[in-house]
Amino acid sequence: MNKFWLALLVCGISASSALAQSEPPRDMRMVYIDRAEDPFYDPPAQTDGVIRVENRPPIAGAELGLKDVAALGRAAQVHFVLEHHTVAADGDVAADITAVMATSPALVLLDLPHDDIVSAVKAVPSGSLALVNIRDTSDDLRRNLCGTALFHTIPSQSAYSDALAQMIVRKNWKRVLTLIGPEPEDQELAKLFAASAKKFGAKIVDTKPFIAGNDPRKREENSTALMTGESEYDVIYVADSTGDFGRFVEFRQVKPRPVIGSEGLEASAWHRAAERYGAPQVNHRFERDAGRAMSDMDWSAWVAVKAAAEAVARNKAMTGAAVSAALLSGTIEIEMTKGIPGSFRAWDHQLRQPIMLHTADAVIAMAPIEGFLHENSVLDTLGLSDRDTNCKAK
Amino acid sequence: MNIISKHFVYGLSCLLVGLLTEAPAQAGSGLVFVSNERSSQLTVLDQSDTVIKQIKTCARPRGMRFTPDHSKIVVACGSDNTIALYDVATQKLVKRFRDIPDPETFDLHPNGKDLYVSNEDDSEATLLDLETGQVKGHFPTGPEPEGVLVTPDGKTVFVASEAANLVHVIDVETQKVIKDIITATRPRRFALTPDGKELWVSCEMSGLVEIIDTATLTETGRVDFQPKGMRKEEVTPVDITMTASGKTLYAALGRANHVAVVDVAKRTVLDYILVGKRPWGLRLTKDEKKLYVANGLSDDLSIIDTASGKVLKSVPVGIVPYGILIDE
Repeated sequence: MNKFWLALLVCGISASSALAQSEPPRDMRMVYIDRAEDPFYDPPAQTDGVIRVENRPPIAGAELGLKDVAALGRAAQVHFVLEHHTVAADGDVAADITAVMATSPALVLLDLPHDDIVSAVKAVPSGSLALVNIRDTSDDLRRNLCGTALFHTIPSQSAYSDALAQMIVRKNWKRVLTLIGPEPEDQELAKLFAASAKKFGAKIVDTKPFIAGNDPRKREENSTALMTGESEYDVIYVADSTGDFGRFVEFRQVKPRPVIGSEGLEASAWHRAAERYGAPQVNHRFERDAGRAMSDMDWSAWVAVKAAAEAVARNKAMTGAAVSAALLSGTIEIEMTKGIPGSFRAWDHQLRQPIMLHTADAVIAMAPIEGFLHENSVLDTLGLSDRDTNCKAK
Repeated sequence: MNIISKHFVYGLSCLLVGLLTEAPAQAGSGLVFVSNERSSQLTVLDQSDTVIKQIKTCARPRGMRFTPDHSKIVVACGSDNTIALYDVATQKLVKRFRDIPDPETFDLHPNGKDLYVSNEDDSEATLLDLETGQVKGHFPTGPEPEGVLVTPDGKTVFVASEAANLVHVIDVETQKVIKDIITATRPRRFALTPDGKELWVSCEMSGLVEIIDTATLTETGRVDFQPKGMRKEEVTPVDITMTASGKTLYAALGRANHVAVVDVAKRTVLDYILVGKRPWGLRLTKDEKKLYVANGLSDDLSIIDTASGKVLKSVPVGIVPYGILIDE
């Protein structure tokens, strides 16, 4: 324990003193782990004119979750505590997680970069403790680390592309023109969307790579007009992780067809404009406390704390192993303020949840879209099913 | 509360004492009042169930009650932190209590002046004295407190916390929360059997009604709802109402677009009646021949003939109708 420093910020919510209690409540500790100087939270580049939202640490979501479960703790005679542990910038995450585990927390929230998540998971025996990914949407974490201690409350990227594909199939906008950027992330997004389109019966009629810029010799790749004029399509899918090209597609396209993907209609776990199922109240509480809109990551941290609290209240699960087992037991209804109770998939420990399809200021639809059915749960129409992976339920 | 508004409340409260002690109205007008939370209106229907008036109200009116003499309607307006009183006869605003944070719904103590209010945004319930305008009590709840029920003997108040899956029990005499009962997911509204022994609680996200024994304050049973052809997650009961005899309970099933009819003694579902989209609010007429249903997502009322279990009429009202009152 010499190569890292511990920053322990204990922010417990006390059970109300208004209640006379026969025995003192027991502590249920959750630990939030992040890394110092994480480049993910660097202010975004503002040199190219793209308006980007700065990533903000989702500990604010976990803190709201802690507040929201305080009354449940009062009823269950449990005192929920959130501790904040920061891995040093050059620290070894595996060593830190081992040290944290030695303190017997009931749950750990991971606000860590992709590779740190992988290292952390390898240091923790499966079933001993739930490590909850609240930040990383990449499918490979679900595919390759299934059956481990890793849980995910943030949706997978393929759940997002499935939601978009359901929407266009439902609208009968089945012919898709895809515009794909030069970044590896763009290729990955396009690949996932193509799989989703195939899964639900949309057809990619044409694919055009694009680059940013105005070079007239490359106008086949940088002119929206040239890219969108030829083929017969119903909708344009844009894969643009950088954002510099995609923002100019809508209204510069030749044909009056909607834009989805990285621009136009987007898929998210959460949105500040969600107006049903109790979402406005959650957004309002969050904005009042944090002074900003609730992000997908904030929501994922919030729901992870709520799920763990439910495990405590319903299953009397107080240890890391007991919470982990309770989350997978299927006996807990996780209220997500998205209209359908959630649960964790046995095969990859992904939280089943609806996906919001939204523009900048309105939630247009929630997937699963009506009509897409599944033998177990309609929520399993979104993201990786047990058939898509080698993961087996444990 | 700042000084100016305090004076305002004190000033008006003197006026209100007079208003509340007026002689009871002779016979009810038969008018039906509907609060519309999205269009901030009260819709007024006459005895033939025809819309005769739309009254602009404070912002986001939801819970409503008559004062004991039926001369006023108390309305909770969540978006401008107001409890407002409207005169039944003139249908004009007569009084506002400001600075009541985000009130959603409430119940009136049998003493006619103590209003127990759920403050959705503040994770608490408050006690507003309608005579003095003073907030006399604060009770800690879970997030998003919703349904409030004061028992007819005036001794106990139940408050449901939607987002905490709890029912809080407030002892009126000591003014303390004496118990938090863990319920199924998203408890919303209450109905009490006439003998006071069973508290029925709708649990929206679990698609059921839970029955709490009021002596032991523990759950003793459940009634599950499963209308034909509906997926479980579409069954989201909110408002429930019981007949005076305690024989029958009606439950508005939200996204399942049905009202369930329940045999209270047997705890079984007798019927499902198809209504409009996302029914929440319910109100029986005094003779229990008609059941009014507020359909939040089709902006209308379904009016059910309880004898036949058929919808007699659908009446468009305002945007997102929530609560219903009948002056009779």
